[in-house]
Amino acid sequence: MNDRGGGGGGRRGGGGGRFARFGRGKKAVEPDQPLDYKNIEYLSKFVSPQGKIWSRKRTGFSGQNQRKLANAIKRARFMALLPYSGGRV
Amino acid sequence: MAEGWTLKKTYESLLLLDNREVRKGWDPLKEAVGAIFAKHGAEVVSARRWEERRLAYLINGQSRGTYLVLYYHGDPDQNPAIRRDLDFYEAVLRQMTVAVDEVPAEAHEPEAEFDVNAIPVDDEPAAEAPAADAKGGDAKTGDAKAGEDKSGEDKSGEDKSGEDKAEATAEGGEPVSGEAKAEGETAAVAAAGEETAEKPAEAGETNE
Repeated sequence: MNDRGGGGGGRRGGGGGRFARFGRGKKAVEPDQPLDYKNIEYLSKFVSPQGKIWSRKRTGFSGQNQRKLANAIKRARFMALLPYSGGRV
Repeated sequence: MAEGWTLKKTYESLLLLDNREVRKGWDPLKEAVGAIFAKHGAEVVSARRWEERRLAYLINGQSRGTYLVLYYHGDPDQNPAIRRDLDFYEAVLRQMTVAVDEVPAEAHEPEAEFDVNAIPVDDEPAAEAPAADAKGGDAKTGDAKAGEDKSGEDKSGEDKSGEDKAEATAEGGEPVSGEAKAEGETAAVAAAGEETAEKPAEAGETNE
């Protein structure tokens, strides 16, 4: 009935609990380039026009790489390499 | 632990430098920044310009800045002191230090020549202009005067365009177009009349 991953208890097969819905049976996408905060051109591909970081569902990255991506974008934002919101000033 | 033993790690520091200070001279500024690190016992491995670029948002009224990447070996305990000193240094707009495993090979490459005079002028005066206007007529700055002059020029430009239009009309631009319009209208009316005249006849033929 309730096939959502967030439920836990009564799900059949597989583990992972609340994170089970992400990439089940799929191989995570590997980043083409290093997820460095100075690599702005690559990082900007994973940011929406409003400045939001794409979700893991959309990037397809593993949890580890998604965290690296988020940290790199946040560092780039702090150094005024990427905007916090929207486009240019 | 033996006395005098210190843990040294490798760090990468990215500094955003104020272009107003950069224009005064790149090498002296770089040396001054390096001296802050050296003052706290850090061994600067490499310091090179990364990029001069437009900022994603304004910082201290600046829309452009020059980034300096600096690699150094240092004691982690000294990092807060370095950060504090850089915060007090006015030429540094932003700074960020991260630990790295090793210094990349590209950091040892010689720095490309940097023409300080080639830095584009940012739009700082435009940002200050509204503040000058808000002060009123008592504090008239050069920028405000320039703005007034510019507005005058714009107005004159508008007047000119208006004059041009007037000349164009006086030369007979409109009358010609008016005649053309009149001819066109009469021709269209005549054609419409013919059509209307033909249509009832046709309609009558069909009715018959």
